[in-house]
Amino acid sequence: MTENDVCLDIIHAQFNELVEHYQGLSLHEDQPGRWIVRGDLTFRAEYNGVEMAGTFSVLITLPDDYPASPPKICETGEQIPREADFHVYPTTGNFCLGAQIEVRRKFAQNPDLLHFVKDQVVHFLYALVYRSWFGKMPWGELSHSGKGILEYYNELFHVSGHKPTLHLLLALHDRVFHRTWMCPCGSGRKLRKCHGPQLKELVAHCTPEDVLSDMKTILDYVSPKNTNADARQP
Amino acid sequence: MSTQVLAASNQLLEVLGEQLDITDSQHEAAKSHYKAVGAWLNQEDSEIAKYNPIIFPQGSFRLGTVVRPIGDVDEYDVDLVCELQALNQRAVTPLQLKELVGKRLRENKKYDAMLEPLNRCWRLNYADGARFHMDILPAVPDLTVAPTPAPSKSFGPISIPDRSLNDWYYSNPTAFAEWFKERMKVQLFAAREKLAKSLREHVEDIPEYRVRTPLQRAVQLLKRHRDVVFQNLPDERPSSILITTLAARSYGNQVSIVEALQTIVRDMALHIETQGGVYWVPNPVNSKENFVDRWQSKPKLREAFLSWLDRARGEFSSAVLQESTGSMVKSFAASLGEGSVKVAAAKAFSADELQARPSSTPRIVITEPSKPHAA
Ligand SMILES: [Zn+2]
Ligand SMILES: [Zn+2]
Repeated sequence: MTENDVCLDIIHAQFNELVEHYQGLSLHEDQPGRWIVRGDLTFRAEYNGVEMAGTFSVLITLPDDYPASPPKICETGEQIPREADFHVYPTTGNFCLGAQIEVRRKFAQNPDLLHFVKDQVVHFLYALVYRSWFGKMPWGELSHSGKGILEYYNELFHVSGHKPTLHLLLALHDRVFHRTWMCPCGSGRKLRKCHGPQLKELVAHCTPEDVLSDMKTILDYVSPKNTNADARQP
Repeated sequence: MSTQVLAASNQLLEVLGEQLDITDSQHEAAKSHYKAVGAWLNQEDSEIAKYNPIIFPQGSFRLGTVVRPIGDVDEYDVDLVCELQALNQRAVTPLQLKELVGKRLRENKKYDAMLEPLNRCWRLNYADGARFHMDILPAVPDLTVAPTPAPSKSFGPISIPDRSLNDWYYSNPTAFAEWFKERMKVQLFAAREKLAKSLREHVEDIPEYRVRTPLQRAVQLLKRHRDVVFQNLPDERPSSILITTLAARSYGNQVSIVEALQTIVRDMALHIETQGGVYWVPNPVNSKENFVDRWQSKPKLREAFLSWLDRARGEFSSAVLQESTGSMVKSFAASLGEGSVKVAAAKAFSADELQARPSSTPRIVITEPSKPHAA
């Protein structure tokens, strides 16, 4: 069996599991080698005692290296505007389910279609339906662009300001963590007793290029040339 | 949301709105009753005829947002103003004004038998099966403000007795009604046009009270929801004028009741302002009047309003998001009163449609959500 056949088997098996729970969906080979799942996704979900439900027409695209990378998903029923305000990338129509590294990290925990839908897509749709009734996101949202990336990492690392995060990302980029080094976050503690374990876990979910690109985005946001940085505080 | 349930929700809410509403014939009956009262006050032998009394409706009866009280024994409240146009607050005290009107009403045997004095107005309890009572609030023109260059058929600002009958309270029910109508004029015209077509009549011949806009329906449903929620907490109940004002400010000409409700519950709280640290919902026709002035001394009232609004959002959203018509009806019954919703559902749907199908959609409890991000 070639590597390709193995992937195909995985995709079929995962789709069968998915469609057991979400009947409205079907699997297609859109172009040779490109697999998609499309149809109506009906969900019910509850968060903090508030239940939301809905049906959206969706298109899930599996990347070439699936399941090494997570799928992408967009909506085809024109129910959600293609606007950054609705957390949809205006050009592609894909949902921004979360910070990129977060999407990859979550997907890596259970790299299959059912979990992708249950643990990421349904959460996202729940939040949008909730917003249409309550006027706000149920569990908050990240700011747009660099500010949002910084917010994400600050929350992830439990630090504040851009410096500790940039130092930690630099270490993540270089991928060398000696257990006895001082943690780059500046806590004064040894790496192994501070951010070491977290950085080691993250290595699996991002390439050095991903990290570099996030660092550049953050630097752009905090650089003094960007005079709007303060004005964009919430 | 699923399109079928959305359509079914609209259908149910429309029929439920009709159930909660005063009927056309009750409306006509109330109108002829209050015109008769007006004629009695103006009759030649009437002592107050010289003050040029005039009777006109105000409040929810005027706005088309009347809601049948919970339980079948209760009656509709028809609010009227009796303005003595040729009198003013320098020539009469609030107490004297109330007595002037009351005395003339008592002189009529029929009215005397059904008259009930209330705090600052007179109630006529009609016992002819009309199922409403009329509250007649005595008023004089408010001379403290310049008369508005309003169209001749509408009346201007008035002075009415306050609760203690010690002082004057200023009001402008006509201007408020005009403002409310303006907020929904697009759908009001559309609704009249639709009815006119179905009756093969001219739009101009369809009186406004014979149709209801999505805004009026949404206000009725919100008021009913409030009545259910505050059934045992009457002191914390948000006022109808507050709900009506915030709803009208939030309404964006939505065509369906569900979409109107959705927008209204989403945006209502955005129209609560603060002025110098004081919560403020201005009367749209008198910015000096604050509909939430009691929130300063009783912060509990604000909390009660906000938690009611949150509950309305949660309950309305989950009801219209149900998968089957049957479970949608159940959900509304829990929020808006079992009795009226069941009657409405029986009118709106067949027994087949009401069969609740077991749901196949997995129900997920969200525990570790990610925050969405925009590139
Ligand atoms: Zn986004
Ligand atoms: Zn550290």
